[in-house]
Amino acid sequence: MRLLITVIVLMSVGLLLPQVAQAEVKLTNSIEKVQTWVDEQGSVQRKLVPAEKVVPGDELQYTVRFLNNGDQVVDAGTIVITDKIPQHTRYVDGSARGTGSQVRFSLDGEHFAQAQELTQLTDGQQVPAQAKDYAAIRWHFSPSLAPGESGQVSFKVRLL
Amino acid sequence: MQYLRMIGAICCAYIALGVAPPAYAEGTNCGDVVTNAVTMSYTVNSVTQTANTSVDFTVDRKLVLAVGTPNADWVAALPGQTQAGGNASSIQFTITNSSNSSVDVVIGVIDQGLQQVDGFTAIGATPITPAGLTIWEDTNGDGVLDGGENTLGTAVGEYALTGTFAEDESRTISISIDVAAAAAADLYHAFTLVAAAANAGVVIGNDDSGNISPSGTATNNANDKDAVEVVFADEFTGSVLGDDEGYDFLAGAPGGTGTNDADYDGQASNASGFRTRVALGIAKFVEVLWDPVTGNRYDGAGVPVVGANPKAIPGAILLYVIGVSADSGLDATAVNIDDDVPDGLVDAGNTTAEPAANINMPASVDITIGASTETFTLDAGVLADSNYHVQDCAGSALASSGFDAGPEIDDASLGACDDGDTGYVAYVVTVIDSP
Repeated sequence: MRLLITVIVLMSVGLLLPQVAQAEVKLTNSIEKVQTWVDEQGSVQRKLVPAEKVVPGDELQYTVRFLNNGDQVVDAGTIVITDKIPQHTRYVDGSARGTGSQVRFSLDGEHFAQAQELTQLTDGQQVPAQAKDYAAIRWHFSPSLAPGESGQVSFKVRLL
Repeated sequence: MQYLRMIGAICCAYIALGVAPPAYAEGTNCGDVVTNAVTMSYTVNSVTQTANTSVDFTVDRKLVLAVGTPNADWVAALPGQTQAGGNASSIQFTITNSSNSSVDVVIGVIDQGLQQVDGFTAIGATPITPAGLTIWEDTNGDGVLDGGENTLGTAVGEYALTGTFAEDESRTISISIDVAAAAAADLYHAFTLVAAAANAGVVIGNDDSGNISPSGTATNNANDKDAVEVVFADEFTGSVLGDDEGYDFLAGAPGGTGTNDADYDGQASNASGFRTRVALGIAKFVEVLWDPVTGNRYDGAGVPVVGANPKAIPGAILLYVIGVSADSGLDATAVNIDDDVPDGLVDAGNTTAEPAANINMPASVDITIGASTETFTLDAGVLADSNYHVQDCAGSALASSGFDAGPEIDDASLGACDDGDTGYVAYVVTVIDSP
């Protein structure tokens, strides 16, 4: 009788339940500054440098990397990354990137749609939304993510 | 680097005290922390899981001063204008703090003498000898050096402006000079004003990115995205003539004649200057149009005379034109002309009633006024009659009036004469035999 009660208690706390699969996906977010200069030929050059000195007017790139550190495959089409445009910054139009991802934008952080589908009310009329008004970006990553595999998405903003 | 820590303290004091930093019209305040938060959801074997992360950075201190001038060209300095007389001519500079924090400002005033100024008309070869130099901050905003402002000094050099410039704050600094009453027209003198970012009245010698104010020590501090660092962000976009000179505040001397201000040196500059002008120029022109003996006729400058030159003999008809030219950069109002017709030698008007066929009015006359010659085109209504004729500076319809007793002209009105305007009074007289 005592053994039966012990089994029931252990089952009730899940210790004897089948192990739920866990995929340890490591998420990192980094920031770099877009440095622009004119070379000797007069061409504008750009490169990413550490964002250690950042002042108004600077263009910044955020890069979100995700790595499957577990031993289970992440299901295809289920990875969704949501990134809010930081306060004091403005999204740089056309800068969102993400291999294998579909990108959607939001004006309120809740409702997302493709850029060409977003509208906003201006002077009583629905007009196409402008990139400067985006509040958040969402990437829908289509492939599965096997253990050891990784991916990344990125976007740029300008500090106001 | 003590001052850099102090600067960081200035930025962050607002945050530590829980006080909203001053409004910055177009930029994020230094010391603000910008956070980017990311969330991620996914499923494994249809079991939903999530992850999130964020990254922060602290906005650094961007130092940008701008120096402009509202003077579009040389400022007119009229002979006799003085500070003592309460009407000294002055040039103006506006200093604007476009940084994302408050900042102290130290200025350097450079005497450029006969220096060309970008965008201004080309200069002559003679400088003004300025006296009574006064550098002042127009604290009462009336644009006049009248005692209601903060006088900084009476010599070129460095001056620490009082107080701290808030973000976007602009102030006007003026430079006045006295001009000798006997000064000739078209003398020039330029000054450059350099404004440098300062802390507690001391010019900041370097930022944290290796940029320096002249003679500063380049320092590329270890980067720290979570700390407030100083960045000189000024970019030189000014003159190609060397008038927007830099200033070595650490050495206490101008950067060198013809040496322009540089990018990312924590300072900005601009130039302006004075040009002596006459307020209104006036000159009287006379020409014999016709004489009764030869009948010869004058038809105007450059036009062949009919016969020999007419002579000023009794019975001759003379044309007088009093030309007025406004060439001061200033506007004159209520310009009136008085003129006495030489009593006894001439009769006012065409008293011989000579037919117009013998007396043709020239289409125009050239009158030298000061250093320039103006061409006055005479209106068709200027006749060899008994009236005097007035063309005002606005180019209104010609007005004709009879002479006052004397004979004389009393208060012939040319109205308001703005810079570049001309006007004239024209009439004819007859030379008589004897008083």
